[in-house]
Amino acid sequence: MSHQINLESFSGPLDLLLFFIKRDEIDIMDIPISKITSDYLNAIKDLEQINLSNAGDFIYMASSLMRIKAKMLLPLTNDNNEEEFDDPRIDLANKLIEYQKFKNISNDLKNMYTQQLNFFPFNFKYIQKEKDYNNFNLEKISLFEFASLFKTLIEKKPIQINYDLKKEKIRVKEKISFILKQLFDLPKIFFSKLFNRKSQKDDIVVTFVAILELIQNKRIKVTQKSNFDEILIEKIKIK
Amino acid sequence: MDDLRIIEALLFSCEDILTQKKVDLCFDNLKPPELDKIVKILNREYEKSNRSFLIQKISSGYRIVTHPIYSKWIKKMFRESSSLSQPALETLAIIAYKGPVTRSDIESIRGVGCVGVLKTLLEKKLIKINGRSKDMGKPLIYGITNEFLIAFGVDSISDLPKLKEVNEIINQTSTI
Repeated sequence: MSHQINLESFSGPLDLLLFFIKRDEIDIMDIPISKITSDYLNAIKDLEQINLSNAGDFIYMASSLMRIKAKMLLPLTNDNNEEEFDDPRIDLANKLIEYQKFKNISNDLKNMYTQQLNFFPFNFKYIQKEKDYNNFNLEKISLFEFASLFKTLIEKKPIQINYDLKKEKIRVKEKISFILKQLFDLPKIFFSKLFNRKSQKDDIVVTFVAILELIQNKRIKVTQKSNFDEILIEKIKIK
Repeated sequence: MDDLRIIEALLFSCEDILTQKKVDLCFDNLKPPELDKIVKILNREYEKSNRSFLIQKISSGYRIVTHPIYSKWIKKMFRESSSLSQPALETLAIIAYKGPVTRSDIESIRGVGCVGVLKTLLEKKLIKINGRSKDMGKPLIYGITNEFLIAFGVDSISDLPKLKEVNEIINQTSTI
C-alpha cells in the first residue's frame, strides 16, 4: 500500500511531515498524531542504513511526535476555563506553518534564480574567475573569506613545534624531602604554607607533584573541607 | 557627444553594476545624465533593432546582459551548473525575509542543522556575516549580499515576492 519514501529527497523532518499532511489532506491545525507518528516512524526506520547528515534531526522529531502522542493520551487538565486548554500539537502546528511559509517562498526564489541564470553579463567569465579563491580581490575580501583562507593555509602547512627544553631546576625528590622535613616539625601543614609569595609557577607544580607522590606512597594524608578550601596535609605515622 | 552613447560605453566597460553615482563621477559632476531615463531609451532601441542584449536593473544599478533567449547556447559554452539545493534555497529564504538572523533562528524554522548549507552559501557569496548578536554566546548573524540580489535578479530586497501571510496558508491547506 505505502510505497517507499526516499528520505534524502526531503530537506528535513518538517518537510517530511508536510509531505504526509499534503498526501493525506490533513488539516494542519488538527493533525491525527497517532497516524502521522506511525507514518513518520515507518519512513525513518531505514535511517540507520542511509548515510544522512541530518539523521539526528529526524530522530529528534520522532521523539517529539511520540511525546505529543503520549500527552494526548493524558486527560486534559483545563484550568477552569474550558475554552483554553493546551493542545499539545499546537507547537508542532505553528512550526509547520512557519516552515511551510519559507518552503513556499523558496520555490518562488528558485524560479527567480533559474530565470536569472539565463542572463549573462558581458563580464561573466571575469565574475566567475573573481569568485575563485586564487583571484582574491583585496578590497572586496570579507571576513569569512579571510578566515577560510587562513584556515586552508594552516591546514596545508604542518605546524612546526619547537620545544625549548630547560634543565629542571626544582626536583620532585628534593621537594619530597622538603615537605617531609616541614612535617617533621609540625604534624599538620597547609598546602599554601609550602611556598612563599615569590614562588614560581613551576615551583608550585613540582610541589603539587611531590604531594601526589607522597600520597601514593601513603606517607601523607590530604584533606579539604570544601571545594577551593585550603588543603591540609597531615603526616601518616608509619606503623 | 551623445549622452546615450556615453552611457552605453560605460555600461559595456563597467566591471559590475553601473550606478548613478558612478555616472556622476565619470561626468565630473557636470550635468550628468539621468541613468534611469537613458537606460529606458537604450532598451527600447535594442528591442527595436532586435539586439542580442539588453540592460537589466539590478542591485540598485544597471548592467548589460545577453538576452535570455540566447542562454541555451551560452550555457553550453560555459558549461555552468550553478543550481541551488532545496536546503540552500530554504535557508536563503529565511535569511532574506527574516534576516539578519543567527544560525539557531534558521535551524529552529527548518528543523534541521544548517552548518553545511551556510558554509556553501558563504562561499557562493550569497550571504555574509553581519557581525555578532548580543544574545548569549554571541552567535554570528547572517544577512544577504549584493551578489544575492544579482543572482535573483532583483533591484532590492523589497522586490522579492511577498511572504504569504500565515492565515492564507492555513486556509490553503485546510481547503484542499
